[in-house]
Amino acid sequence: MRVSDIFFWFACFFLAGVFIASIFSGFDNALTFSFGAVWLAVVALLLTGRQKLAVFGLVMILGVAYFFLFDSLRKPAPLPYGEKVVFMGVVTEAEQRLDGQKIVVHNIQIAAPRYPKFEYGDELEVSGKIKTIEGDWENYFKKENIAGLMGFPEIKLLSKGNGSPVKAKLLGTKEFFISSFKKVLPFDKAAFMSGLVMGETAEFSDEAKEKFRATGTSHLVALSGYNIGIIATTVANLLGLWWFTKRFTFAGSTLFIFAFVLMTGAESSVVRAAIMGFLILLADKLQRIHNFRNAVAATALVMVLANPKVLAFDIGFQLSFMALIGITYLKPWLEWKFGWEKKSGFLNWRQNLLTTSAAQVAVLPVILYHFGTFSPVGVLANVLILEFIPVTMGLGFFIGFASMISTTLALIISWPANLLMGYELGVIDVFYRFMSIF
Amino acid sequence: MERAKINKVLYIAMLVLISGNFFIWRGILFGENKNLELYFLNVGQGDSELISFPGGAQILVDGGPDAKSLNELAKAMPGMDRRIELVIATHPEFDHFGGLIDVLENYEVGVMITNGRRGTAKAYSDFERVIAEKQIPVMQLFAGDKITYGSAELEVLWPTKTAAVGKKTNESGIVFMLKDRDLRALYTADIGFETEEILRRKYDLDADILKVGHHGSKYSTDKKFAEEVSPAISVIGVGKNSYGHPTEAALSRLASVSSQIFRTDNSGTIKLVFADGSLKAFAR
Repeated sequence: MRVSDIFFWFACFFLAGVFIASIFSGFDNALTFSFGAVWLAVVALLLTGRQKLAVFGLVMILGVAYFFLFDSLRKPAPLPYGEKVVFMGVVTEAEQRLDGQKIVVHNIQIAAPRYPKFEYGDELEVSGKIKTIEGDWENYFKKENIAGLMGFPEIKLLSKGNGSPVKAKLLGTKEFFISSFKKVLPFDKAAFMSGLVMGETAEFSDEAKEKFRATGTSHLVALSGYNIGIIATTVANLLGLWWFTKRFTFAGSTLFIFAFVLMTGAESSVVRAAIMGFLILLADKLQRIHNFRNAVAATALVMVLANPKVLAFDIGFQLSFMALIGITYLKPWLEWKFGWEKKSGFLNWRQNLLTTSAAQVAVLPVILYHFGTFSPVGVLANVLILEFIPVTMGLGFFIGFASMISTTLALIISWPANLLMGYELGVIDVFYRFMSIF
Repeated sequence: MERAKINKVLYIAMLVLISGNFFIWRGILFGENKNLELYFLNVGQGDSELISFPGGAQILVDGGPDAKSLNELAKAMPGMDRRIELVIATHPEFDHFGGLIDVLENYEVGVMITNGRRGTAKAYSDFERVIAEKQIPVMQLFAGDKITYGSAELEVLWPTKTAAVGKKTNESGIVFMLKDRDLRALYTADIGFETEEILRRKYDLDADILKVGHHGSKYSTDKKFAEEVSPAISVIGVGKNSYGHPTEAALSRLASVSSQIFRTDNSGTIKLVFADGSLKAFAR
């Protein structure tokens, strides 16, 4: 077997092991059950004559072991649930929503009113009761390493600027971009642009979030590989424009992607997309034929090693990978089936239809499992909008950069953006109304 | 730069010019409203109203508790208009000034009008900070002051200078009567029976539109007050709350004077348009 194949199967079985461990992790005797399942799988492989794979099956044990080891090493001191406590800590995450804030201090998520505003790096004194996490959201919070919740406790600001200065600066840039959108665009379009460019949906109204979900267009504002790909390509193109920046294209694009990921909060889908984007850039530079499935496997492996819980508990992770697999393997098959190779059509509709359909079919099982419903108009809505998104995103960046120079310049650039978004949001609205008839 | 790149630049330039034309002409032709428009914004449990004059001036009264006001305001104001001429913060309670913090950060404001009282809510310092940062001039208005614009006049009925520093914050709120030709609209902030009694005795409160006091609390809108005002339309700014707002008591007192009642929790943002002597109501 070639080295690349060995690596691929190793990664797959390791991930399978982590997955098995994840499934059983909620029960007692989880370790026993996990090993039991692995053993069953290995036996099944042996019985069906696939000896080589059976050997790899043993790798699953490594995956299981890693999951539980990681979990036990990471177990924080249990929190004093239910009693009134006072503690101090630094804010590691702060999200501003329309009707309040969600801040994270240590491993506790705190809900607070919108004002007074707290931000990354603030040192706070918090007094209140910590609640345990139960119910549907348990897995999400486990993945985020949050062990307790607090609702509207007493908060006192002790000092500011205690976080990493690099991250603070990057978050400041993100804030700047978002406020520059709000200055020149109407509120709902500014929120949409923040979603497209930064993946920031905190200030979406509930109504808006529902519209995106119902029309299957949430991924546009979720900062997926799609968005990062556009950004990376645009940056690379820009750098390639002038001879004196051409040699920095690779380094520049990489640095930009890295900074961008940090700036937008390093969500798992963004990190995956960034790693993939980087690998593609690397392969391009090294002129090596890109072994795609290994790149995907390697990316998944790296992310799971960093946090084994993302495999089974992070919906975004699952959606990104399924979409990627769908686009990589299903789309070419569809293209061949329809005889549409090399054909694009008006506004590239054929390519968009293929990509969207392949991705939607691939993520359908994940969506059905988690949400129970799916969007039948999703494909059509996406095809009508997708072609315009890169330009819209590009204009968004220009608005941000222009705001550093002059608000009037930003306003001028906001006109085409406003028009484009009017169309895109209009399409979503029409489909949403159509759907709500049923 | 090669041909392809020049084409791209031209393409974007064309896009900018075409859309620029679209928005500028739309602003010129359809931008300003021809009639007086009164908006009662849906900001959840709180009050926020926009008075939009023909001629492009706006007065915003309170901003609700949070940034929902931004969303609704964007829909109510003409697209390119990022300036609100006057903002009136009736009294420093969170469900009235909270949202103003965001409004001040995102819009240009001409003058901020308050009743001179400092708030005790934690967020009030953020409110003062934004006003200072943006150097917005602040004025206090008291009973007897008037604002005129075109054919409209806004007469401040309350508070008196004594009431503004009185014990109860709610009874210090700015109350005013908006008059335009034969339309009269009464805005009552969060006042209760006490203040309603004083106003009833002192002024002619007959109005077509009433912004119901204190979100329909049972301690506001007493029977005699409702009879005095006898509004054709009453609007209550309310959302999910644990106070029982709007209460049966207040609602029935309004119903007994045959007032048509609109609530933002049921109807969303409510728009009243006064045109050619008639009043039209639109609910989202």
